Amino acid sequence: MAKKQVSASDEAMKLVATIKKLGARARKIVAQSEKLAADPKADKAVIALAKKIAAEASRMADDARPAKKVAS
Amino acid sequence: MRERLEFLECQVTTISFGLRALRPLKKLYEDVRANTLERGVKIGKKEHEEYSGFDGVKMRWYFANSPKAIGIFRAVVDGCRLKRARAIVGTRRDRVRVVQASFVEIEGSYPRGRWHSDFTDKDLGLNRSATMLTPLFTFHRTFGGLEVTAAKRGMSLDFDKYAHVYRYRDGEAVLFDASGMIHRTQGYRAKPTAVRVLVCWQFADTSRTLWPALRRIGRQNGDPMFLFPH
Repeated sequence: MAKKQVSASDEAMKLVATIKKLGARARKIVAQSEKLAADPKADKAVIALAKKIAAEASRMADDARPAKKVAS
Repeated sequence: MRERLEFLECQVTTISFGLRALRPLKKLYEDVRANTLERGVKIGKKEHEEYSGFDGVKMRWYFANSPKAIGIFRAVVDGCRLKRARAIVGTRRDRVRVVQASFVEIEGSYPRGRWHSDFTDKDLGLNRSATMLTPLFTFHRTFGGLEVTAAKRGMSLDFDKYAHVYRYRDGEAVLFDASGMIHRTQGYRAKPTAVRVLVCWQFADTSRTLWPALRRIGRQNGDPMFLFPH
Protein backbone atom coordinates (compact mmCIF):
# COMPACT_ATOMS: atom_id res chain seq x y z
CA MET A 1 0.00 0.00 0.00
CA ALA A 2 1.35 3.42 -0.90
CA LYS A 3 2.37 5.57 2.05
CA LYS A 4 0.04 8.54 2.55
CA GLN A 5 1.81 11.77 1.68
CA VAL A 6 1.28 14.70 4.00
CA SER A 7 2.31 17.99 2.48
CA ALA A 8 2.88 21.31 4.21
CA SER A 9 0.22 23.98 3.81
CA ASP A 10 0.87 27.11 1.73
CA GLU A 11 1.10 29.03 5.00
CA ALA A 12 3.75 26.63 6.34
CA MET A 13 5.81 26.76 3.15
CA LYS A 14 5.63 30.55 3.14
CA LEU A 15 6.75 30.66 6.78
CA VAL A 16 9.87 28.60 6.21
CA ALA A 17 10.78 30.19 2.88
CA THR A 18 10.41 33.72 4.28
CA ILE A 19 12.40 33.03 7.45
CA LYS A 20 15.12 31.40 5.36
CA LYS A 21 15.30 34.45 3.08
CA LEU A 22 15.15 36.98 5.93
CA GLY A 23 17.75 35.03 7.91
CA ALA A 24 20.20 35.13 5.01
CA ARG A 25 19.63 38.87 4.64
CA ALA A 26 20.13 39.45 8.38
CA ARG A 27 23.41 37.52 8.49
CA LYS A 28 24.68 39.42 5.45
CA ILE A 29 23.91 42.82 6.99
CA VAL A 30 25.49 41.86 10.32
CA ALA A 31 28.63 40.68 8.52
CA GLN A 32 28.81 43.91 6.48
CA SER A 33 28.30 46.02 9.60
CA GLU A 34 31.04 44.18 11.50
CA LYS A 35 33.43 44.47 8.55
CA LEU A 36 32.78 48.18 8.27
CA ALA A 37 33.23 48.79 12.01
CA ALA A 38 36.60 47.07 11.85
CA ASP A 39 37.80 48.87 8.69
CA PRO A 40 40.43 51.51 9.58
CA LYS A 41 39.98 53.16 6.18
CA ALA A 42 36.27 53.74 6.58
CA ASP A 43 34.93 57.20 7.35
CA LYS A 44 34.82 57.91 11.13
CA ALA A 45 31.13 58.76 11.07
CA VAL A 46 30.33 55.49 9.30
CA ILE A 47 32.40 53.51 11.81
CA ALA A 48 30.68 55.25 14.73
CA LEU A 49 27.29 54.44 13.24
CA ALA A 50 28.22 50.79 12.72
CA LYS A 51 29.45 50.56 16.34
CA LYS A 52 26.29 52.23 17.62
CA ILE A 53 24.13 49.76 15.75
CA ALA A 54 26.22 46.86 17.07
CA ALA A 55 25.86 48.14 20.66
CA GLU A 56 22.08 47.91 20.41
CA ALA A 57 22.21 44.15 20.01
CA SER A 58 19.50 42.11 21.74
CA ARG A 59 18.10 45.06 23.68
CA MET A 60 14.52 44.25 22.75
CA ALA A 61 14.01 40.54 23.46
CA ASP A 62 12.75 39.30 26.83
CA ASP A 63 14.14 36.13 28.37
CA ALA A 64 10.82 34.41 28.87
CA ARG A 65 7.17 34.56 27.89
CA PRO A 66 5.40 37.53 29.50
CA ALA A 67 3.63 35.65 32.27
CA LYS A 68 3.54 35.74 36.06
CA LYS A 69 2.39 32.94 38.33
CA VAL A 70 -0.80 33.74 40.22
CA ALA A 71 -2.18 30.40 41.36
CA SER A 72 -1.46 26.70 41.16
CA MET B 1 12.70 14.41 7.00
CA ARG B 2 11.63 17.83 5.70
CA GLU B 3 10.65 19.14 9.13
CA ARG B 4 14.00 18.33 10.73
CA LEU B 5 15.96 20.01 7.96
CA GLU B 6 13.80 23.13 8.25
CA PHE B 7 14.14 23.16 12.04
CA LEU B 8 17.91 22.84 11.90
CA GLU B 9 18.29 25.51 9.23
CA CYS B 10 15.58 28.03 10.20
CA GLN B 11 14.69 27.03 13.80
CA VAL B 12 11.06 26.69 12.70
CA THR B 13 8.88 24.12 10.94
CA THR B 14 5.32 22.80 10.91
CA ILE B 15 3.71 19.40 11.46
CA SER B 16 0.28 18.45 10.13
CA PHE B 17 -1.84 16.05 12.15
CA GLY B 18 -5.37 14.66 12.51
CA LEU B 19 -7.53 17.13 14.40
CA ARG B 20 -9.32 14.40 16.37
CA ALA B 21 -6.11 13.88 18.34
CA LEU B 22 -6.91 17.04 20.32
CA ARG B 23 -10.13 15.64 21.83
CA PRO B 24 -8.60 14.76 25.25
CA LEU B 25 -7.22 18.30 25.47
CA LYS B 26 -10.55 19.87 24.59
CA LYS B 27 -12.08 17.89 27.44
CA LEU B 28 -9.25 18.92 29.76
CA TYR B 29 -9.72 22.59 28.87
CA GLU B 30 -13.46 22.31 29.53
CA ASP B 31 -12.71 20.65 32.89
CA VAL B 32 -10.32 23.49 33.75
CA ARG B 33 -12.92 26.12 32.96
CA ALA B 34 -15.68 24.24 34.81
CA ASN B 35 -13.38 23.40 37.73
CA THR B 36 -14.19 19.70 37.32
CA LEU B 37 -10.68 18.28 37.02
CA GLU B 38 -10.21 14.60 37.79
CA ARG B 39 -8.33 13.60 40.93
CA GLY B 40 -4.59 14.03 40.49
CA VAL B 41 -4.89 16.32 37.46
CA LYS B 42 -3.52 19.64 38.64
CA ILE B 43 -3.48 22.70 36.42
CA GLY B 44 -1.76 25.94 37.47
CA LYS B 45 -2.67 29.40 36.28
CA LYS B 46 -0.57 32.39 35.26
CA GLU B 47 -1.69 35.81 34.12
CA HIS B 48 -0.01 38.16 31.66
CA GLU B 49 2.63 40.47 33.11
CA GLU B 50 1.42 43.98 33.89
CA TYR B 51 3.54 45.83 31.35
CA SER B 52 2.83 49.38 30.38
CA GLY B 53 0.44 49.33 27.44
CA PHE B 54 -0.96 45.94 28.40
CA ASP B 55 -3.61 47.21 30.82
CA GLY B 56 -6.81 45.26 30.45
CA VAL B 57 -5.18 42.41 28.52
CA LYS B 58 -6.86 39.14 29.45
CA MET B 59 -4.20 36.56 28.62
CA ARG B 60 -3.51 33.56 30.82
CA TRP B 61 -1.67 30.29 30.82
CA TYR B 62 -3.19 27.12 32.29
CA PHE B 63 -0.18 24.88 32.78
CA ALA B 64 0.29 21.21 33.68
CA ASN B 65 1.11 21.10 37.36
CA SER B 66 1.18 17.37 38.15
CA PRO B 67 2.51 14.19 36.51
CA LYS B 68 -1.04 13.14 35.62
CA ALA B 69 -1.73 16.49 33.97
CA ILE B 70 1.45 16.50 31.88
CA GLY B 71 0.60 12.88 31.01
CA ILE B 72 -2.56 14.02 29.18
CA PHE B 73 -0.58 16.48 27.03
CA ARG B 74 2.15 13.89 26.40
CA ALA B 75 -0.35 11.18 25.37
CA VAL B 76 -1.83 13.46 22.70
CA VAL B 77 1.60 14.06 21.18
CA ASP B 78 2.58 10.39 21.30
CA GLY B 79 -0.78 9.26 19.89
CA CYS B 80 -0.63 11.11 16.59
CA ARG B 81 1.70 12.60 13.98
CA LEU B 82 2.81 15.29 16.43
CA LYS B 83 5.19 12.71 17.88
CA ARG B 84 7.46 13.58 14.95
CA ALA B 85 8.51 16.59 17.01
CA ARG B 86 10.53 14.25 19.22
CA ALA B 87 12.59 13.19 16.19
CA ILE B 88 13.04 16.75 14.94
CA VAL B 89 14.51 18.30 18.09
CA GLY B 90 17.78 17.14 19.63
CA THR B 91 19.69 14.04 18.75
CA ARG B 92 17.91 11.17 20.53
CA ARG B 93 14.15 10.72 20.30
CA ASP B 94 13.90 8.93 23.68
CA ARG B 95 15.57 11.84 25.46
CA VAL B 96 13.38 14.52 23.85
CA ARG B 97 10.36 14.85 26.13
CA VAL B 98 7.43 17.14 26.73
CA VAL B 99 8.71 18.90 29.85
CA GLN B 100 6.03 21.56 30.17
CA ALA B 101 2.61 22.09 28.58
CA SER B 102 -0.20 24.61 28.79
CA PHE B 103 -3.28 26.21 27.28
CA VAL B 104 -2.62 29.81 26.23
CA GLU B 105 -5.87 31.74 26.40
CA ILE B 106 -6.64 35.30 25.32
CA GLU B 107 -10.05 36.91 25.83
CA GLY B 108 -10.74 39.88 23.60
CA SER B 109 -8.00 41.91 21.92
CA TYR B 110 -4.23 41.73 22.27
CA PRO B 111 -1.87 44.70 21.70
CA ARG B 112 1.43 44.71 19.88
CA GLY B 113 3.44 42.14 21.87
CA ARG B 114 6.97 41.98 23.24
CA TRP B 115 9.65 39.96 21.48
CA HIS B 116 10.88 37.07 23.59
CA SER B 117 12.18 33.52 23.56
CA ASP B 118 10.61 30.83 25.77
CA PHE B 119 13.66 28.97 27.13
CA THR B 120 16.63 31.23 27.75
CA ASP B 121 19.71 29.98 29.57
CA LYS B 122 23.43 30.33 28.94
CA ASP B 123 23.85 26.54 28.90
CA LEU B 124 20.98 25.76 26.53
CA GLY B 125 22.05 25.96 22.90
CA LEU B 126 20.16 25.60 19.65
CA ASN B 127 18.32 22.38 18.82
CA ARG B 128 17.98 21.37 22.47
CA SER B 129 14.43 22.60 23.11
CA ALA B 130 11.30 23.57 21.21
CA THR B 131 7.89 25.11 21.58
CA MET B 132 4.97 23.58 19.65
CA LEU B 133 1.70 25.51 19.24
CA THR B 134 -1.62 24.71 17.60
CA PRO B 135 -5.17 26.08 17.95
CA LEU B 136 -7.37 24.14 20.37
CA PHE B 137 -10.46 25.52 18.63
CA THR B 138 -10.83 26.99 15.14
CA PHE B 139 -9.50 30.53 15.12
CA HIS B 140 -11.71 33.48 14.28
CA ARG B 141 -10.34 35.26 11.21
CA THR B 142 -9.51 38.36 13.26
CA PHE B 143 -7.29 36.48 15.73
CA GLY B 144 -3.58 37.22 15.63
CA GLY B 145 -1.04 34.72 14.41
CA LEU B 146 2.50 33.96 15.50
CA GLU B 147 5.06 36.60 14.66
CA VAL B 148 8.58 35.22 14.30
CA THR B 149 11.74 37.04 13.41
CA ALA B 150 14.79 35.82 11.55
CA ALA B 151 16.94 38.24 13.57
CA LYS B 152 18.61 36.42 16.44
CA ARG B 153 19.36 37.46 20.01
CA GLY B 154 22.69 39.29 19.89
CA MET B 155 22.31 40.42 16.28
CA SER B 156 22.47 44.19 15.91
CA LEU B 157 19.20 44.33 14.01
CA ASP B 158 15.64 45.52 14.48
CA PHE B 159 13.57 42.38 15.02
CA ASP B 160 10.54 43.96 13.33
CA LYS B 161 12.34 44.36 10.01
CA TYR B 162 13.01 40.62 9.78
CA ALA B 163 9.61 39.44 10.99
CA HIS B 164 6.99 37.24 9.39
CA VAL B 165 3.48 36.34 10.57
CA TYR B 166 2.40 32.72 10.55
CA ARG B 167 -1.38 32.22 10.54
CA TYR B 168 -2.44 29.30 12.71
CA ARG B 169 -4.69 26.69 11.13
CA ASP B 170 -6.54 23.61 12.32
CA GLY B 171 -4.61 20.37 12.04
CA GLU B 172 -1.23 22.06 11.81
CA ALA B 173 1.24 22.74 14.61
CA VAL B 174 4.11 25.16 14.39
CA LEU B 175 7.35 24.00 16.03
CA PHE B 176 10.18 26.40 16.74
CA ASP B 177 13.40 26.45 18.74
CA ALA B 178 12.43 27.57 22.27
CA SER B 179 15.82 29.13 22.81
CA GLY B 180 16.78 30.42 19.38
CA MET B 181 13.56 31.72 17.89
CA ILE B 182 12.53 35.20 19.01
CA HIS B 183 8.76 35.54 18.63
CA ARG B 184 5.59 37.19 19.92
CA THR B 185 1.81 37.04 19.60
CA GLN B 186 0.63 39.19 16.70
CA GLY B 187 -1.50 42.06 17.96
CA TYR B 188 -5.18 41.97 16.99
CA ARG B 189 -8.60 43.36 17.79
CA ALA B 190 -11.50 41.07 18.68
CA LYS B 191 -14.80 41.21 20.54
CA PRO B 192 -14.35 41.17 24.34
CA THR B 193 -16.06 37.78 24.48
CA ALA B 194 -13.91 36.19 21.76
CA VAL B 195 -11.60 33.51 23.22
CA ARG B 196 -8.44 32.44 21.42
CA VAL B 197 -6.91 29.22 22.81
CA LEU B 198 -3.64 27.62 21.80
CA VAL B 199 -2.19 24.35 23.04
CA CYS B 200 1.48 24.72 23.92
CA TRP B 201 3.93 21.86 24.39
CA GLN B 202 7.51 22.55 25.46
CA PHE B 203 10.02 19.92 24.38
CA ALA B 204 13.55 19.58 25.67
CA ASP B 205 16.50 17.26 25.34
CA THR B 206 16.53 15.76 28.84
CA SER B 207 20.14 14.56 28.80
CA ARG B 208 21.54 14.75 32.35
CA THR B 209 23.96 17.52 31.44
CA LEU B 210 21.02 19.80 30.62
CA TRP B 211 19.04 19.22 33.84
CA PRO B 212 20.52 22.23 35.71
CA ALA B 213 19.70 24.57 32.80
CA LEU B 214 16.18 23.16 32.43
CA ARG B 215 15.52 23.50 36.16
CA ARG B 216 16.70 27.12 36.09
CA ILE B 217 14.30 27.76 33.21
CA GLY B 218 11.47 26.09 35.13
CA ARG B 219 12.10 28.37 38.11
CA GLN B 220 12.24 31.38 35.81
CA ASN B 221 9.00 30.76 33.94
CA GLY B 222 7.12 29.46 36.97
CA ASP B 223 5.93 26.11 35.56
CA PRO B 224 7.19 22.78 36.93
CA MET B 225 9.66 20.97 34.68
CA PHE B 226 8.75 17.31 34.06
CA LEU B 227 11.86 15.39 33.06
CA PHE B 228 10.69 11.79 33.62
CA PRO B 229 10.38 9.58 30.50
CA HIS B 230 7.39 8.93 28.23
